[in-house]
Amino acid sequence: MTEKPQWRKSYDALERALAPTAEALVHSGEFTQVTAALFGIRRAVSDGVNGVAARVWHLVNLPAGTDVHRLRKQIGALDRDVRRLTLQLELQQAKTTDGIGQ
Amino acid sequence: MTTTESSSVNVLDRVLLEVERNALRARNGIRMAAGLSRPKLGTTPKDVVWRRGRSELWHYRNDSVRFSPPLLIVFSLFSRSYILDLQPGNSFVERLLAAGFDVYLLDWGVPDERDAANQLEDYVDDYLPAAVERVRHLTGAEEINLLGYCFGSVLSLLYAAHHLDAPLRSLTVMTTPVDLQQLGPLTSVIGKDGLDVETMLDADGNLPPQIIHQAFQVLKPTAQITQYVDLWERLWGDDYVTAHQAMAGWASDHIPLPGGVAKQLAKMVQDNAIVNDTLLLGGDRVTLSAITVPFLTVLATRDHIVPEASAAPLIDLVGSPDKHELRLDAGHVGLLVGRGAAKTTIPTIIEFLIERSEASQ
Repeated sequence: MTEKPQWRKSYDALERALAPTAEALVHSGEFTQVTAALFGIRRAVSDGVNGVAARVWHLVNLPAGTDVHRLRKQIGALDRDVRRLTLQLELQQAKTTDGIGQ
Repeated sequence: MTTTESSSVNVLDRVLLEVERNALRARNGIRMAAGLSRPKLGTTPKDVVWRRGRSELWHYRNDSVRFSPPLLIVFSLFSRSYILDLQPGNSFVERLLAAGFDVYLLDWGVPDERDAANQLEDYVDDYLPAAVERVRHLTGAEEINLLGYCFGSVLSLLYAAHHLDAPLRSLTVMTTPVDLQQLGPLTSVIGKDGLDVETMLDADGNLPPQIIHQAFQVLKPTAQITQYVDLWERLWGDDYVTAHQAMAGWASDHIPLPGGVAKQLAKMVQDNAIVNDTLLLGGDRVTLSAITVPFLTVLATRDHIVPEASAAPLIDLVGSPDKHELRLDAGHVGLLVGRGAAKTTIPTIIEFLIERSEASQ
């Protein structure tokens, strides 16, 4: 096996020294709090921007992106119900066919 | 030749080698940047034999099936299933086919807003039983062997535990998180003091793949830099570059997680529901001790995504009298891909399955 080059040995040594600290940081309670705060800020900013955009579109009697998403989710929920019923029906049919076949 | 002359020749050889390697690095780097050397993934021939919503049931073609019952593989909801069939010569599916199994794979597809409200019950009580019935119908087999990978293992376990009349000959699970409070930072971020999952969902109601990718990356903060350092060091090797592109591509190729499942998972983490036996599915309490089929669990001691501590309690939770654990010195993906997988994991799984199968007629 060829020996590792010097630059690689230096990187490995640095990585070995830093990795435990970095891993301890992401396992800490502070990291959780900061992550939660960042997600909260992201959500608040995105809700704010979407709210303003929606008001602008509604002023000219047009649906906003949030309206379209809401509608798509509602249709999605309906699609899911139909899908589940189809699957349950399919399963019942397969079991009935098996029962007749036996 | 004197010692001085010999050492000069060595230095010259090393310089020439580095020059040659740097030229190859430049060539491979340009190919990668231009997207000219993308490896073909998941190429084992297969047919889609059933489809519902975004989910598909794949049947891998095999002219030399020697064992029955068929094997159904259930994949995770977090990533793409081509890791099981990465490249010719480095494919879990290919090895199973070569061993003589009739292999089916349930791929969940890429969820969109139509899947945002999906719950675990959709997968465990509807999709999985329907796919199992489809396999039985296509093969005429009374039973099947079921194999789950990562979160697909959790779905398989819940299916086996919630459907005690399920036609299972055996159940094999790999890298299965059961002690959900041992999942590292993932647990703390969505645990009791963490954030509301609702704040992480996208406009389509699903947990975006970028968040899933970042959540896995943060588990080993220096890993991504090391990955690039490894790449630079071995960029001159065509085989290494191909393998790197396949693996690194898969590791960052996550799919959205249905919002409904994400919320259920957060609750499961908070309650540590699998270990504490408090899991409810469709209003029923689901307990793994109800599983009695022959059982194999495979876990990796260097798995940073599903740490050993998270997967280890499983063997004691399952009620099967015929149960086995295979614990390997590998990482999350190393169980399936690479030399270790080819030498140990895959042969052990094949042996377990062959012992619980019969010669095909």
